[in-house]
Amino acid sequence: MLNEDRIKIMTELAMFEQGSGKKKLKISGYYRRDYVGLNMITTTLWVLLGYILILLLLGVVFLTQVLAALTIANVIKFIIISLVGFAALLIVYLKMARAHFSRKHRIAKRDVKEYYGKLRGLGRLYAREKAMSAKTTDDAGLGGEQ
Amino acid sequence: MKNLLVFREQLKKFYGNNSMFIDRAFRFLFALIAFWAINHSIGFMTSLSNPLILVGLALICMFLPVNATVLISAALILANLYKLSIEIMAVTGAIMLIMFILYFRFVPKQAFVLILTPIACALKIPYVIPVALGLAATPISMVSVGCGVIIYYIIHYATVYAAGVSASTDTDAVSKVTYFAQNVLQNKQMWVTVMAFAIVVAVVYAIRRQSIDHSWSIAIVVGILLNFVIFVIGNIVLNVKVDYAMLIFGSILSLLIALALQLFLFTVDYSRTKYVQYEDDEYYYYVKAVPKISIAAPEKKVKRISHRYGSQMEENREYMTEKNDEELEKEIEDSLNTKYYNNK
Repeated sequence: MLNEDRIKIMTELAMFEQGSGKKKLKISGYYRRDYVGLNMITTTLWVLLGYILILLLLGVVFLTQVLAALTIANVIKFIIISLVGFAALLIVYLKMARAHFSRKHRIAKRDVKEYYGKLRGLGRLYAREKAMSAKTTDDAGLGGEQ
Repeated sequence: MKNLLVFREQLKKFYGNNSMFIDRAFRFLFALIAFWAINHSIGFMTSLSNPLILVGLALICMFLPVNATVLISAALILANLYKLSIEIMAVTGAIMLIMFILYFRFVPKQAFVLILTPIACALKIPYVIPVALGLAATPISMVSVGCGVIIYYIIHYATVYAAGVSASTDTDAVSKVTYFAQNVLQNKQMWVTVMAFAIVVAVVYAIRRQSIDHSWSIAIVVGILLNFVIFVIGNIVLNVKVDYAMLIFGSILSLLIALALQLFLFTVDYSRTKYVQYEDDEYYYYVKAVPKISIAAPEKKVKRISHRYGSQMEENREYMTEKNDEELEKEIEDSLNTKYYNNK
């Protein structure tokens, strides 16, 4: 028999599983610290790549000035400034990444908890229906005997 | 105003009934316009300029998320620039990669602004983008719109550069890269536009969040005026080239589009504002409640003129609505039983 409540829950569950749930189920499989830590490492690598690209672009734009001022002292100065710049950028990005991925993990956990709650509700609905159908069968059986 | 609100409700209802098709149609149109605009401005690769290929790509994008359109657009830009010069493609690719790595990795939902801004620039209504983002998004969109402007100027400069390259082809790779990167990244007009759009996003957002009456309308007007003033200052102080006719025309058009957008995002009745004051153990609350304007879309009534068929249907319908399901089921069962026993 069709049960409207059950269909509603099943639709919500299917929408979650086929939509944002795919990613969220995966994220919620990690501990928060592991998930954030892993993404902070990835962010460090991406920021490093981005920073190298920015330096290369700036080098290309100011190529003539760079070539004109190419001395050992300037190279050392450039390396120090670049490292300080990278450290500053990395600190900003790591703070942002920690906040961003912590929030993402928290939301994923919350939604997955809600999803499991609905799954349990669906299980209870099935159990109740099964019990009711068993009861009606028993009643019908008893009636037949009488 | 009432007619506009009714129209809005009708549109909402229509969208609600056909959202799946409308979403796909919009994705297709967005992709097609983006690919057409790219091809129109920097269509150096003739094999990609075939309209059938563009339509085919747009059809594919119809079934993919919006960010797929952004990636395909980026690939199209790079492919066309490759035909122009591999060095220019490398510089553009590096700029795009920096944007994706350092920004769009964290806010992938705003990647569409990267393509929407150049499209709006090509359609001469760029000023609507920062105002719309200030109204509908958060201040982080300042970066998105800035990236969009940079992409537009790269495309724009590539067309200018194409003429220069054809005039002098004997330049080496390094000087080509330096020349292109210098002209794109040291372009004062581009940086003035980036600054103007970023400020407009922030100001529009700040004003529309205020609890003052007509905050959204004020935000739109102030945003457009501020944009105008920044461009005028840029023209006077930094000697940036500004086409005043286009600036005024674009501003008026953007104002109208932003006001239309407001109709869909925020319509309230300030005349019925209520002020409530109460307290709990920790705070005093001064609440301002502004009611939303909601008008039900009028429903079309179909009156049947054909007497026999129509009246019979009406009678049946009335009868069905009067009875509840159980009663109807019982009646049907009774009639079937009667028929069965009669036949027997």
